[in-house]
Amino acid sequence: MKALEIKDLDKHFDSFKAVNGLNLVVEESEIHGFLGPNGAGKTTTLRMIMGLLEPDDGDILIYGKNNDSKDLDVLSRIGYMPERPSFPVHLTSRELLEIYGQTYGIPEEVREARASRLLNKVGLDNYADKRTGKFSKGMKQRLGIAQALISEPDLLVLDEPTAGLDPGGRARMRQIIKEIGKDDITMLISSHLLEEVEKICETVTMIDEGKSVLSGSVEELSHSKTVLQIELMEITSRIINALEDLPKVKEVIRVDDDKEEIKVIASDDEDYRPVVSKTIVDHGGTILKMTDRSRSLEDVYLEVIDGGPEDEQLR
Amino acid sequence: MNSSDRRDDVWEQVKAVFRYELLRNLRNKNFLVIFLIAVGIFSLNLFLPPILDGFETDPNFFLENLNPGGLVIMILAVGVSMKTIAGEFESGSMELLASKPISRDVIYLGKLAALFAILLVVYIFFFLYSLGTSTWIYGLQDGLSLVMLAVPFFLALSSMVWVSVSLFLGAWTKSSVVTVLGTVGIFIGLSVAAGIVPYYSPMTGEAFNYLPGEGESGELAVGDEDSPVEGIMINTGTDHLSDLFVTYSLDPETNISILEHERGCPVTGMGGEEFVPGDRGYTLSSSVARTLMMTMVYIIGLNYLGILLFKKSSIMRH
Ligand SMILES: Nc1ncnc2c1ncn2[C@@H]1O[C@H](COP(=O)(O)OP(=O)(O)OP(=O)(O)O)[C@@H](O)[C@H]1O
Ligand SMILES: [Mg+2]
Repeated sequence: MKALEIKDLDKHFDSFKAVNGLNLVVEESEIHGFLGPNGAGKTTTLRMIMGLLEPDDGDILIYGKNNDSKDLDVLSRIGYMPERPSFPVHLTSRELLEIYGQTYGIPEEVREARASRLLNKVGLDNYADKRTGKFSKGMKQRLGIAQALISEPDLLVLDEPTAGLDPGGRARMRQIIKEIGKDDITMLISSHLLEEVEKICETVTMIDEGKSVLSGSVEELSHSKTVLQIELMEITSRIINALEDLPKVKEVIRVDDDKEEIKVIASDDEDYRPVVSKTIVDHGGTILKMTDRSRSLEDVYLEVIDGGPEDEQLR
Repeated sequence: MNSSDRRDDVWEQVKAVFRYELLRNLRNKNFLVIFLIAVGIFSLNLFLPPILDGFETDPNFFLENLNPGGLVIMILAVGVSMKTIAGEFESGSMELLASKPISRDVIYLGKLAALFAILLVVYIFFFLYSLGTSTWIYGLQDGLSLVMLAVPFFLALSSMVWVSVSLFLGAWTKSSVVTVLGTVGIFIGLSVAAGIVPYYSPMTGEAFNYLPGEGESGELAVGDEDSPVEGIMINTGTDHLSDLFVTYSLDPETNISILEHERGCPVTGMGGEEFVPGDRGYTLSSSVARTLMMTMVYIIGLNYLGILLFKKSSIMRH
């Protein structure tokens, strides 16, 4: 069964199309990454899922039910953590968890016990009775996760749970999310941190400029193709063009502005080293180093998302 | 989920929002500041007469000063409600509340109920404070009556008119600055207008009974020197529901005679610098009924519009 299905979703702000014909499917029990660059429309989409913003057009089906009218039965199955969650500063974490729990009609003893357990789970037990106004960014993020779990939701929607955290905080958040994922729960996690998503998610949808550009399982996406990473004496457009003309080469990407290094992405996982190196040499290049590895999510991302700095270099 | 579960849930949700708003408000330093300002202004009423005019016992002082005045009523209202809707949009915390399975009506009404409760408690405090100080400064008070226990309730209702203005502006603009400036601006605008307009055109003063605020000024006239309410100065607008109600209960047959500015000589401008009871007047009973009705019209009307705007709102950071 599909936990979430979005069809041809549109949303504009004034004349700007923030979401433009977006499609997304999240199957039950999967952990789904929702990827896209800044301003791609991730937060806007998640807000429409939660009934906080009204879509202009399209359908949002949650467990087969339409959430256009802010259906309360539908909302009661979802836990939501907004981007950089903000709490009323004068309430304590425990009070907030309790009050949020009460809005789901959870009995008092249950929600009290649950609040304590969740605060413990996210490492806030020492701050349970402190007002949230004094919380650090990381603590707010962790409280954000805890409050999203207070109703033991079937579907958990997290908007950039690791944004703004230091490396330690990020590792901790990943740990928390992985642990939650062990239960039978469906998750939709928005992020632009590819490594994060690669570590946590099973399936991904990538969006750009309000449209879905790719979706599939992380496994499938990153291992169906090979990437050759090549360091040259000097990159010339002759070499690039020649490589791009090779039959099975999908894309050639310059890795970094100040490095003479390119990535050659092939469309399947044969060994391309002989033919690629021959082409480079034939066109006057000198290879300093060549490595062969399977594709990471980042490679996929850079291929499909337009307008990345690496892309522009070569056009 | 059957319908009685749903109803239980709604009740639980109202309680949740009520508690949320209560804690959010009472723990805020702004609330304490506004409360102390209101106590200060109110205390001037109590302490200034003996300081300026010398000490005299006055057994009617409490009865004549049941109402702390429009400024206190408005300040308290704005103080508790300025961040209730707008502030949660500004900080982004509305996004969490609104993503729960709770309807926007329940959020709005739960908050409204909490504001009323806070104001009620504040006015109970004012009532006891005023009764205590009046007795202490002006001697034992006459005319005390059980109906006076309703004063805090009616004062809270008067404040709710301004709360409703403020929540409406908050739901509309999502800005607490606009909410405060707007509400205070409307209050000042109407107060100034109510002071000036009747000066030039006495008949138009009646319009102010239909607007939030002080309304017209008048003097209670029973025609019986023994009546506890004879000669009391009173206003007829929504801010004065409480004293209108109490004086009406003490003597239902009373009339209000509206003060008019006695014009002096048109050439010299001399001899007319006072407001005196004029020809126009109302029965106290009709005035209470009208003021109660207008109070409810504003509370219900403005909040109805406020809820409509809130329901239509996109919920994101503003
Ligand atoms: N209230 C608004 N008014 C006008 N434009 C908006 C509004 N909210 C979002 N946008 C625009 O819509 C686009 C999508 O924004 P959104 O926040 O959904 O992106 P995002 O994918 O979540 O980005 P990020 O990774 O930075 O969080 C952006 O260009 C943003 O400027
Ligand atoms: Mg975002």
